[in-house]
Amino acid sequence: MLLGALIAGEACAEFSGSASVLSDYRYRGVSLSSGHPAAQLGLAYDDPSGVYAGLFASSVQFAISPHRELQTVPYVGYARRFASGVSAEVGAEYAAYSGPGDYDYAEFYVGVTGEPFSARLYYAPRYFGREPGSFYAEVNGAQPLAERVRLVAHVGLLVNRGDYPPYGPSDRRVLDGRLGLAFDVDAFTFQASWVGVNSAYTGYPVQHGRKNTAVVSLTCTF
Amino acid sequence: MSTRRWLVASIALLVALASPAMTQPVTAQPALADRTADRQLLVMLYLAPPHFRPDANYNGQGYAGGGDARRRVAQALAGKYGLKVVNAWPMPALGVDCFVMEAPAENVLVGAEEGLARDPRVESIQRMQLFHVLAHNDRLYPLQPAAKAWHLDELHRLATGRHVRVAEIDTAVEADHPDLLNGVVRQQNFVDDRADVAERHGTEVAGIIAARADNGIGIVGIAPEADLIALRACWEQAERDGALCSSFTLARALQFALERKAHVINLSLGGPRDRLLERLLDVAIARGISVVGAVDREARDGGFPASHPGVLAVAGEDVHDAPAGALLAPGRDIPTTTIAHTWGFVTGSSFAAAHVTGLVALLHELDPGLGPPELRQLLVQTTAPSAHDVVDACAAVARVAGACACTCAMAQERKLLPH
Repeated sequence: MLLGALIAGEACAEFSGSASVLSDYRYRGVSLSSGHPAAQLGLAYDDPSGVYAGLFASSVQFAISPHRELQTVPYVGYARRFASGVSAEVGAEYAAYSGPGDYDYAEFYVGVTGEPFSARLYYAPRYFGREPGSFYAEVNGAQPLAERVRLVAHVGLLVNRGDYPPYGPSDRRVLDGRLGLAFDVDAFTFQASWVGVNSAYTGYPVQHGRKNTAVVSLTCTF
Repeated sequence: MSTRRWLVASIALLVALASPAMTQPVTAQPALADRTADRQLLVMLYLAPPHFRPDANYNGQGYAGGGDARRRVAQALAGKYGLKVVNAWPMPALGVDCFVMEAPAENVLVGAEEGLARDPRVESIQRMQLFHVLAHNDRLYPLQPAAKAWHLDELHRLATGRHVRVAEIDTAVEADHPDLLNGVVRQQNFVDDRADVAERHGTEVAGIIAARADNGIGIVGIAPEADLIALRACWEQAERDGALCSSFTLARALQFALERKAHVINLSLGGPRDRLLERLLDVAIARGISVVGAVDREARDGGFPASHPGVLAVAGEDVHDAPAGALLAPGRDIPTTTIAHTWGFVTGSSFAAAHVTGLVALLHELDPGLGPPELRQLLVQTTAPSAHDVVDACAAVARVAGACACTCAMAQERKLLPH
């Protein structure tokens, strides 16, 4: 509804999207696809006022089901660029999952970007359906190495605020990192990354695979 | 479905999404286009600030993605108004993606200009304009070393421009000139795809700003340890003296200077007022970057960008008809580096501006917090408004350093002046 209203009032607004295949859907260091390949689709709307909204969908696979399920994440936010070149944003997302588990949750975030880095702090009162909620802080960076090649890096810290019995014990602090190279060729981006997490007890409802792995992905933007 | 078949099907879907009908990437063409510039428009589309995107969170797309979407809109706009997209460059400092569109004839251009100005998909438009460097080729005048007039030896005991990033937006600099070795920390060509271009004007300006000191050859730059970022936005014309630059090449260079966090920007060039460049200069000045522009003697107000508010406008000391507020610095018979690893003498406000750029770099080393408003006050002999404000390098450095520069008597005299 909000998206419809925004579209109706657009002036020099922008619609964009992306489609990706990944060898492993690593979300905050943890595989949400049980180590299997995943497909993703993203649609985004940017309004000149600074309001943005979008919808993200991905295949996922949780521990309690042998089948692939669907993750959908609508999100809305507001971003503003200041004269200094730094941008700030505030927004919310809602992650919904098909299948038997009760993993849906809302998450709120604030962020700041000063090229080449961005940082965000998230709070989910019911992260993957469990209480009490979790905080997540992340810093992302991208540094061009050549015209079509850039180094991408990510580090994040998940702060669990309790144990979540259905998924076993979980560490209070879970650190994850990613380091990779991204190559742009026309509308495609190929990325090869190393992804790691420092804990086997992350509290996610997933089959815990390897803590460190290489991930490749191919993204088409449109 | 097996994992392998599932993966193959997904890749096939991706390839289908990326069909030519959906993504027609702009083929960047050399920006050296003085013959077609009068038929070109700069069309700005909205570029959102970077923000959260679940589909782009880990891929380092700094500008929130959407580049293909904007290219698609640009292609649609060009098709609608009979234009051809010939180049493009994102300018996040202004929140726009800039597309260069070319019309086959003047009448098409006029119609397209009117239509695009009203089109809600367009943030703003303007015509492509040309600028020229501000130099003469008078090389036979007697040697008159400006460095000596500013007591460079003594100034360099207090500051040499170390760790100050100076962006020179000009023609190409001969970076392997023996008097510039290790001084040019970065080169970028916004005119064409050629590497290792060496051009006269850029090399001459570079020498005045940052020629190395104590190397036993040539000259001493005003800021001999500054980090020079040589940005080629202008190109020499083969058939006649001088060099040209365009709105687009200059805008790209300014955007680059902003991204590289230059402390000082030297613009030894002039031309008509230009909305896109004005916006970029405003961003630079708002960020505390010192912008130095050469006065164009052919223009009553000093020309653009020298006349833009916040830009330090500089003319040669021998210029008696400089616009009010212009700073006067050595600009005649200046020995400097030139192409083919040689040296020569130059005259023009381009080189006066280069002197002030080097001096600003010295002041920035001494006090990184100095902003454009304070700099002008520091550079001239008195704080009273004057039509002819001759730059006093010794006094400026003495004021900022709080120490004797040049002769102590001179410095002490300046210290008595109100700050």
